[in-house]
Amino acid sequence: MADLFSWQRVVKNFPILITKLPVTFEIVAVAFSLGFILALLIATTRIKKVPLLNQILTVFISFERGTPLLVQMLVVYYAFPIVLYKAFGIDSRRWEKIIFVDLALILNQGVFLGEIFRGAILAVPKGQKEAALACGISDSKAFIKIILPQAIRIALPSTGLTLIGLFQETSLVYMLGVMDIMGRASALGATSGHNLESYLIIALIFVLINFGLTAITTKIDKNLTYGTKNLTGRAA
Amino acid sequence: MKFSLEYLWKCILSGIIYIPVTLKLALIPLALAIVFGTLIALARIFKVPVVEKFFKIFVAIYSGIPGVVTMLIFHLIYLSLFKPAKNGIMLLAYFTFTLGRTIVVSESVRGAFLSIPKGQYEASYACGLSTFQTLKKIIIPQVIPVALPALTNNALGSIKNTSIVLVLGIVDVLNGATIPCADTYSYVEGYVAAAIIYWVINAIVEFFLVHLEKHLSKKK
Repeated sequence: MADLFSWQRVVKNFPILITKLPVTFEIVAVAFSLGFILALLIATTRIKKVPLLNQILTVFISFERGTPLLVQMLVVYYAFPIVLYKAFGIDSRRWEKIIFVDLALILNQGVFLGEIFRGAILAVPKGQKEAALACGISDSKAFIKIILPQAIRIALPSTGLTLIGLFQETSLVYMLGVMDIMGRASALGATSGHNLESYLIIALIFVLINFGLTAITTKIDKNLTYGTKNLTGRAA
Repeated sequence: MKFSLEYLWKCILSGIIYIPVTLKLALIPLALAIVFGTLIALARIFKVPVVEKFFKIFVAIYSGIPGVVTMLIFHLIYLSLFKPAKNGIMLLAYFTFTLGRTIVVSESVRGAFLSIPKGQYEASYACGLSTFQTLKKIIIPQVIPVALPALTNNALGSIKNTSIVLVLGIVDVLNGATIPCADTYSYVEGYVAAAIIYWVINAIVEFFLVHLEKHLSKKK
C-alpha cells in the first residue's frame, strides 16, 4: 500500500516508455492520412449521390458511428482474415497486428472526417456556386476557387478535434496486443508489479500532446478567421 | 477459419442478456454528468472566483487523458487503497465514466451558454429580473435547443464508451457476447454479435433523440 508510487520508478520507466511513442505517432499518421483520402472519397460519393455506393455507405457510416471503436478493432482483427481467406485465398494469420489496427482506424477516421467534409461543403450557401457559374466560371473552377476555401474554414476546427481524439483512441490498440506505449506499460507492470507510475507517465504524455495540438489548431483557426465576425456580433 | 451463423445467433442471445449492464453504465453517468456538467459550466460562465480557475485547469488536463488510462489509474488506486467490496468494481466504473462524461458535457453546455448573446442577460437585468430568474426564464429555454444535438452525441458516446470496461473484467455486452466463444475458441462470432447489438442500441437511441430534437425545435 505504501509502495504504490515511487519517483524512482518514474525516472526508471520514463526512458523505456518514451521509446514506444513513435508507434503511437505512426498509427496516428497512417490512420489520419489514409483516413483523410478515404474521407474525401466518401464525401464526394455522398454529395454526388452515386447510386448504389451511396446506400452502401449510409449503412456503413451508421455502423461505424453506432459501434465502439474497440469493437470495430476487434471485428476487423478477427473477421478481416476470414474475408481475405474466403475471397482471395490469402492467409493473413502471420501479418503484423498493427496492420489490422491501422485498417480499423482508417475506416473509422474516413467515416468521421467524411461526414465533417460533407457537412462543410454543404454548409457553403448554394448562391455562391450559382453566382460563380453566372460569372462564367467553369464548374470545377467554381468548386476549387469559391466553394473549397470556404468549406476548409468550416471543416478545420472539427478536423482538429478529430485528430486530437484519434491520439486518445490509439490508447486502445494495446488490447489487441500491439506493442505501443500502453502495451509496454502493461508489460512493465506484469514484470515489476507496479503499473501506476507508467500510467501516470502516459497520462502526462497524452496531456502534453493534447495541449500542443490544441494550441496549433487554435492558432490556425485564428489565422483563418482573421478579420471576420460571426453572426452574434462577437469578433471571432 | 470459418464463420457460423448459428453460432453468431447464440452469441447475440448471450450478449442481449447484458444490455441492462451496458445501459446502466452509460445512462447513470450521463444523467449525473448533465447535472454536474451544467453546474461546472455555470460556475465558469459566472466566473465564480477560485472554482472557475480550478475547473479551467482541471478540464484542460483531464480531457487530454484517454479514458482507458484514467480507468486503469483509478483501478490501481482502488485496488491498493480500498478493501475489495462486492460492487466495488462496478462503482469504480460509474465513478470513472461520470467524471469523464462530466468534463465533456460541461464543455458542450458551456459552448451552448456562450452562444446566447450578452444582450439577452443585459436586457433581462434591465427589466429587473434576478440572476436566477434570468437563467430560468430567458437563458435556459434558449440554451436547450442549442445543447441538444451535442447531448445526442454525448448519449451515443456514453454508450460506446462503456465497452472499455473490458479492462476491468465487468461482464457487459462485449464481454457477454463472447461467453459462448470460450467453448470453441472462435471469437469472430462473439465480436460481430457485440457489434450488431451496439449498433441496434445506438440506432434506437439516436432515433428517439433526433425526434426529440425535431420536436423541441418545432416548438420554438
